[in-house]
Amino acid sequence: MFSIRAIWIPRILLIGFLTPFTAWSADLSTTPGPPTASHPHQGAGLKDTLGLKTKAANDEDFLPPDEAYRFSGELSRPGVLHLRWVIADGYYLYKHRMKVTSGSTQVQLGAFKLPHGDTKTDEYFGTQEVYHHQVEADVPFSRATSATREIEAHVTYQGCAEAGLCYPPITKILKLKLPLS
Amino acid sequence: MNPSLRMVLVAVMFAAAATLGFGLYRWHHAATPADVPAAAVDLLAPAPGKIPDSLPLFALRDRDGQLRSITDWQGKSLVINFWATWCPPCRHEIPLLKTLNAARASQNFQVIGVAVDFRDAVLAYAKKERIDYPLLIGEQDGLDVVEKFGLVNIGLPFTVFTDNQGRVVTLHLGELRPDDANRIFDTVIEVNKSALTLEQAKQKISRELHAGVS
Repeated sequence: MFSIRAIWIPRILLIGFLTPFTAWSADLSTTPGPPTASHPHQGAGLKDTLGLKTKAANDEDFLPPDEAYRFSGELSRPGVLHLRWVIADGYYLYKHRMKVTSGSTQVQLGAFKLPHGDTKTDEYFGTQEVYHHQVEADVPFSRATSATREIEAHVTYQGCAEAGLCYPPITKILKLKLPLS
Repeated sequence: MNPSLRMVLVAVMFAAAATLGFGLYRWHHAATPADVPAAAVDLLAPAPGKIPDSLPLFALRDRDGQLRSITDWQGKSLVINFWATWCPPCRHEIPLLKTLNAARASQNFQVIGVAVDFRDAVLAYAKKERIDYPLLIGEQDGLDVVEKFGLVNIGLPFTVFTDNQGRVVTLHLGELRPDDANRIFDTVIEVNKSALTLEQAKQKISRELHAGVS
């Protein structure tokens, strides 16, 4: 079963604010099995949480980052790590700010295969590829030895709300048990 | 009360206090995710804090490297904009902030930018965009200031508006739009004139901004 460990660490949050590729940290520890593709919208938006939201029916609020971007990962087939982001309407992720690295010398990750995204032109940043709604990517990997039983991937991504809020980069630590090879 | 019952109650209260204290310690002292039971995680994840009623004291270095205290602008109605160079909506709103700073100076308003970013990137961008209002720049110390405003785990930009007594009138999360900004400025003026209480002003801003009053 897929379990989420979401620990925000102020020190890491600091780095996340300052650099595009290290970030808010969370740990997704998994054991083999189907990932949760999405979660129901469980709670208050950011303004609501901060006490800034009125009761007006047309009030818009920003989602907490883990609700704006629901990340999951699984071993789709031998030697391939499959990653998925379900992106809430009105939010997007930057392709060039997605990154995955191995957290262990026992597992080597191959090239991160990302699909073509939507084109977004910004007067300050030019034309960039972004993802809306959902994006999936395969990451091939190899084990140092057949005794390697776990893969630990550090997955970083960053995005914004179309309504004008950008989240600092988020890093998830994805741990998956590997089957016997 | 029965002495043994009292001892049990005291022991239970002590255990509860110790558990709470340990939880807070773990939250503040970078617990290793791997050693936190999954079931406890949601309880330990920090939530946004309370927005302060009064402007918290802080000091950061300006573009010249001089340490500037926020009290340097005491007596003015402040518009403190938190931003970073990597954040497109933060960049979008800077021309508006420049305009408002010039247009509202005669009403004793002062826009102050607080860049939570690397100093060199901020200096280069500020020069390119000719930001003409005061800029304070912080990295770790900048994030410490963000925390003082109760905004842990939140994105950028956000803008804090105070009255001329340093009381926080509102905090605007996300990119500031001209109409919304002007409504907030006008409401702060009413607070300064004692035409509105702080609570009335907060309700007015919340109602007008979110209900799309024009």
